[in-house]
Amino acid sequence: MEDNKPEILSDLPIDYDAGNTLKKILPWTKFISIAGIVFLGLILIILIFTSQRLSDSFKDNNPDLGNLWILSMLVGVLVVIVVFGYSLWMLLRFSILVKKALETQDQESFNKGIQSMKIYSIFIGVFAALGLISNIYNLII
Amino acid sequence: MEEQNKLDNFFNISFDPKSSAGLRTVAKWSMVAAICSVCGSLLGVVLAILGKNRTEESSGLISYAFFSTANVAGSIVVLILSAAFNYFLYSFSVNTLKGLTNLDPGKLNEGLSSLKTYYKILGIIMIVAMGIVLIGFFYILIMYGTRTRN
Repeated sequence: MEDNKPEILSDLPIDYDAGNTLKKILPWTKFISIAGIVFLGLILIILIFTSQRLSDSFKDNNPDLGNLWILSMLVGVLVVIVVFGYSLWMLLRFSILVKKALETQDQESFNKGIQSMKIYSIFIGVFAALGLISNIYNLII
Repeated sequence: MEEQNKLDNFFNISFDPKSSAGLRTVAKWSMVAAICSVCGSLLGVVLAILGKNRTEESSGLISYAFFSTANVAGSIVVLILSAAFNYFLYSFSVNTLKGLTNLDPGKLNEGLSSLKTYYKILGIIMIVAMGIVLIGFFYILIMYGTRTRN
């Protein structure tokens, strides 16, 4: 049986409305990504300066847990910061590349921008799914 | 004249097969993110309510009951906010997928318009959150300053 679903047969041109809407999206995505990266940077700086005090207080409250456990927790936080930072960098890349594409009519930059947005949205989807799984886990336990 | 040239220039780039496939993936993952976020917030409310019951059973203190009620109220506010702005993300993914499948620029524009609203709301929430963090930061600085003076 033949699949009746229409396929992408030709290009979908960006008309004035779509281009204008894209132009309005870009400042917001740029602001969100830069603010997010700055915020993550601040968390990283605070973590570096307070890591010793945090680990001491953690040791006082949980004397059974060893140094390795504390170190792995710090590494875990660092990994989360790096992953979030990378996803925000992709959002920033989207806004830079699509802005350049709209100004210079460069199809290649536009495609790269959309690819960056794709990576960002995959991260957001995975984060949201992990959040949901964590809530389900909390509900069961 | 210059404005007219600018308007015509928009036709020089398009959603070609590569960018269409990319945008399709963006729309699909956005749908996953929107649905998971709203479900997660809904579960957050359930968790807050269950937490409230547990604390009321375990202790008769008014302060515990107050904090649990505040927790439930907070999670309901989060649910309302999450549902409100994830609706636009969901609308973006549905309309964009329709637009790309049927090669319908109108639906694609509707989708992009929803994405614009989504990012606008997210940006405003971020500005408010940054304001709260800044106030908290200055409060801690002032408290630390007065403590060291004493």
